[in-house]
Amino acid sequence: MKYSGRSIKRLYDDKFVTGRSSYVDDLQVSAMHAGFVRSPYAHAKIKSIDTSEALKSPGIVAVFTYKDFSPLLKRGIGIWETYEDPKQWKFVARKALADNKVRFVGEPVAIVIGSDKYSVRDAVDKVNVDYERLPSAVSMEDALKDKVIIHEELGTNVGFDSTFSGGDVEGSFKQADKIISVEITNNRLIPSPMEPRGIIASYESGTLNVWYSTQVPHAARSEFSKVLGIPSSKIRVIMPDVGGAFGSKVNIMPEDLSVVLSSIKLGRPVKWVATRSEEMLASEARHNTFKGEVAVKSDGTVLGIKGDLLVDLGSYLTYTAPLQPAIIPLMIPSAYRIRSASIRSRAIYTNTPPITMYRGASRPEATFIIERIMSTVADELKLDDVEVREKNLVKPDEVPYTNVFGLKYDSGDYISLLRSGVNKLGYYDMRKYAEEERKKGRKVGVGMAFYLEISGFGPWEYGEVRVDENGDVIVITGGTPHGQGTETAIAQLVSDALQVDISRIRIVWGDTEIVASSMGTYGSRTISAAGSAAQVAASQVLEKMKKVAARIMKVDVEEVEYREGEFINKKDERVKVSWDDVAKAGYTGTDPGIYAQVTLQGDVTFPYGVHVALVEVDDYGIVRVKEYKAYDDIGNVINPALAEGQIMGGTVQAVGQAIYEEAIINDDGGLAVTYADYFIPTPVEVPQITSFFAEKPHVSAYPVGSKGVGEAALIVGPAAIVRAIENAVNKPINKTPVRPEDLI
Amino acid sequence: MYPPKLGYVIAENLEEATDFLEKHEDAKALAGGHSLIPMLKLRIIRPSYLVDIRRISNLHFISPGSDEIRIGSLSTHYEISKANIPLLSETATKIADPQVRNMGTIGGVISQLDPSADYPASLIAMDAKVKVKGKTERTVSFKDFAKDMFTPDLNPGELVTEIIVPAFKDYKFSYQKLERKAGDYAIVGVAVLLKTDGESIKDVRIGLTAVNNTAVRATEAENMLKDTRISEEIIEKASAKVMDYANPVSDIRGSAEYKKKVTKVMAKRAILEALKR
Ligand SMILES: Cc1cc2nc3c(=O)[nH]c(=O)nc-3n(C[C@H](O)[C@H](O)[C@H](O)COP(=O)(O)OP(=O)(O)OC[C@H]3O[C@@H](n4cnc5c(N)ncnc54)[C@H](O)[C@@H]3O)c2cc1C
Ligand SMILES: Cc1cc2nc3c(=O)[nH]c(=O)nc-3n(C[C@H](O)[C@H](O)[C@H](O)COP(=O)(O)OP(=O)(O)OC[C@H]3O[C@@H](n4cnc5c(N)ncnc54)[C@H](O)[C@@H]3O)c2cc1C
Repeated sequence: MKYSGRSIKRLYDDKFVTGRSSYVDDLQVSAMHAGFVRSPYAHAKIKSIDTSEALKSPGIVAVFTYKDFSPLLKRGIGIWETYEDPKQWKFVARKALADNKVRFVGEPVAIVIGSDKYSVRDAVDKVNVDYERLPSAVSMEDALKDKVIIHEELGTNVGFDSTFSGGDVEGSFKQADKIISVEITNNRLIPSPMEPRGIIASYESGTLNVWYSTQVPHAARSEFSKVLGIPSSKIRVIMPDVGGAFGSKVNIMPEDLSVVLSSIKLGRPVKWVATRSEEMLASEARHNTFKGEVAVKSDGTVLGIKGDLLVDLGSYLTYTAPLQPAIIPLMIPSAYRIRSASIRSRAIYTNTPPITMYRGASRPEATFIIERIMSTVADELKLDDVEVREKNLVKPDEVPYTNVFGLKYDSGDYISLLRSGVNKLGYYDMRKYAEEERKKGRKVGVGMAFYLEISGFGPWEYGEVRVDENGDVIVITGGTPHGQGTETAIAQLVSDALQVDISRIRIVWGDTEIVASSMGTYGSRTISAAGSAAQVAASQVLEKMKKVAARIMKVDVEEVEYREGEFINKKDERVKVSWDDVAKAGYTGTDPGIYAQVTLQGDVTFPYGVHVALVEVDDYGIVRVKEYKAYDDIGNVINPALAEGQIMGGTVQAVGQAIYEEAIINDDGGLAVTYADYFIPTPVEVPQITSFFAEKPHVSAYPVGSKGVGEAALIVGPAAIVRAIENAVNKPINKTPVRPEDLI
Repeated sequence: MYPPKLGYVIAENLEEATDFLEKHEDAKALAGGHSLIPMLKLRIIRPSYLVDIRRISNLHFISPGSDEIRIGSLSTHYEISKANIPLLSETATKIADPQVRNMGTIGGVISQLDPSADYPASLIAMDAKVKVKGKTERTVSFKDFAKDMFTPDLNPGELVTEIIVPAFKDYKFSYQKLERKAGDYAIVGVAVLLKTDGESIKDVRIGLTAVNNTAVRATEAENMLKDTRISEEIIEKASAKVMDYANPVSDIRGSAEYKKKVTKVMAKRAILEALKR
């Protein structure tokens, strides 16, 4: 019986549903507690820091500032060089604590270490920092003027400035029947995992142990090594259960580094778990504006796009922020045959909390921009939404297709998917229903949006399979699942490859001393990259088992066939040995041991789909997303229930981004919201969600043939929902979130 | 979020509580804790002691009479929602979520006086009275008790013991609350009490919350409706008048202009809903 393709129940959920999982905060390590003194100003010089009162406070053992840490630092925190090119960037690597200046409200200035959280919190108030306030640049518009410079060393607030061009843009605009202007904005968001950031560091006899709420234990180890000058072989990073991350926990934050440095200085374990307010400051995301023009023929053909993209960085360049300004432009052409485009992409430092990546990072932004463009074109030319998209989509015989900026789409039939998706989701019936309801006076609207995204990022992933002498299987994966349930899908793949019962398989991940190497879980890559590596390792293990079986049966290995737990002599099928006997024999005689380690290379793949939303707007401009439907080609679907779960989670966050969530920064640069007014959807706000996957998927080049689904609904959802709102109120909207006051 | 160090006292009876609160001016009474604990955790307040009043059983009652209903200050939103009090029970159902309604108390709400709290719209419309006890006991109108936002008429050592509302027999009513998402504070809340005689309105009371520092009554709008025949036109006019009583500030829940606009729509809805009952 095959496991792959079936909705196998998640393997390790008992501990989660019974509240027995252990997050960083649950680990019993006798550590000192850390707390941070934070800047009350968006931009100020630090004249002096007086720690004497805090040090006298009961239970306090140390207060460290920049000066204490700088001798221990080889450099600041870098960027994610696997995917980001430092040569394209102007940036100052961020130190553990503010040096001579603070650059945003909430920036850590000093770390206080003490015996319990309460004493630490009290002592934080007793650290006296003398600031000299400086004028600040909170908005991108202000920062662009370069009147206030946030990093003097750089001489400008523009961290990245690159023009992405392809084709004959001038020619397209000359040929156009019409030129349409657009301005499109995603406001700042805060991804909100249940578990905030957390870290415990312990430094003993030259060895550093770190328990870390992270998505990337190996990248963290490597970064700690570079920053501290401690060889990676002497650093161990352990990822306990992680209560959500959404991309934010790929980032190595200065607070994390300060905790590690404190443990080194004190020679004892130090622990910090962010409060919710700290978490809200440390994981901000999105915020970009695109202003441009679109050249179109009157039949809806888009000839070219030109424009200016501004991306907010906040005050420092984080580990993951370089992705957005570099990938958004590349993805703007989406699955459309747009043969000329020129997009200037600039990333701007502002005196605001630094931006990190959030589920979809760059594809939600690009998709919102291109789908707003397509819908605007439809409106301007009085064409149907689906028709305009169909007219522009790349034809099946053009795939693999290289877009105008040189990005190569691997596989897909976009037009067929659009057609069958629109049918399957009942889009036109829904439109008709909405129109009927509007005639009765209700503001009901239906919107659709198409997306093509990039996932399955390489350059490689690790997989190891071990069969022990009892025939049980341990799979060690470089993937780092943290709620998605990919461990179950990996177990399904390995079970199928080895034809053993899934209960005999255990999946292990997230410890740099157990997993030889790893990229991690992000960018919807895990089942493609880590799943494939595990599957290939499993097939290698099986080859080894066949050799052992051949030895037992005294036949050539070519004569051994493996079927459902039995190694069979092809020439005489009555002669066979069981899986368990082979496993036992694998640890006796010559060449003992049954393991395989695989570091499997791989490259990006491009899932796509069409989503539809139905909304109702009341007399007060309050929007309810009532229905949300998805039709996606994500390659092979290993576990439909897990995939559907991802569509659901993404939908809820899409509803949040489209109509609720807004990390408002006030004029003084402070984050103006807490959970009392940063509106995250509750179950009441969750629409009825329906998800379908293409019956005839287009596979990726990864051995398992999947493409990825972890971000899809948040990538396309905001565009579909905003389109539905426009349909309901008959008014153009070009930003997220849509506020009630925009609608009445 | 870690509150500052504080002492914790459980008061067995009212005298013990008021005595302690009088002696320790920076001590605070703890009722449902649903305003107090968040403020503590954010370190907005730093009381020396929390005086837990939740065990004082003679503050925990609802007694309906023929003319008026007396509500002990420790009555939770949930209990009030089940007590069949005109207007006020309906208002209680619209506060926050089940967790908050199970813990939060009416005494806590009116002592906190958050400008967006729900009860005040109804209490002002009902001409509610507040009984306060410290060394002595006094009764004040809710209107005077709510001096300003976050500023109740309470002297050191005084506690709210009960809230008294007229029975409003034969009145129709409605509380309409506009919220951005489930469980949130009001963008605007409108409370309406109406007495009709056939096709005409004999008495009407309209209270507004969340659009001023404290709850207000839209008296001119009430006067426009009083002793008139019910008509689409007069309701429209009165609702527009209600809007004049809204002086909201722009915040995350909406711009001032938006809030004024929706005050009118909500007022109309509240009047129409009340008439339907
Ligand atoms: C089906 C599924 C899919 C998921 N998909 C994703 C995904 O795609 N991406 C992703 O990043 N994550 C994902 N997750 C992870 C998910 O976001 C977190 O695991 C989950 O939100 C953590 O909540 P919990 O109830 O499991 O943990 P809990 O153990 O209840 O709590 C998590 C944290 O909150 C604290 N806490 C809990 N209750 C309280 C309380 N009452 N007061 C104060 N603190 C409290 C705990 O101490 C702990 O730090 C998924 C999870 C599931 C089950
Ligand atoms: C998530 C959330 C959502 C909420 N949403 C709403 C909402 O939609 N609408 C709404 O109206 N409210 C809302 N609230 C507030 C809630 O109703 C609180 O319960 C209420 O404001 C305070 O009541 P409490 O009993 O919890 O008082 P506490 O928090 O215990 O006390 C509040 C203040 O009143 C004082 N106090 C308490 N009782 C007395 C007394 N008898 N005499 C004198 N002083 C006293 C305390 O010392 C303190 O200063 C919300 C609260 C939360 C946490």
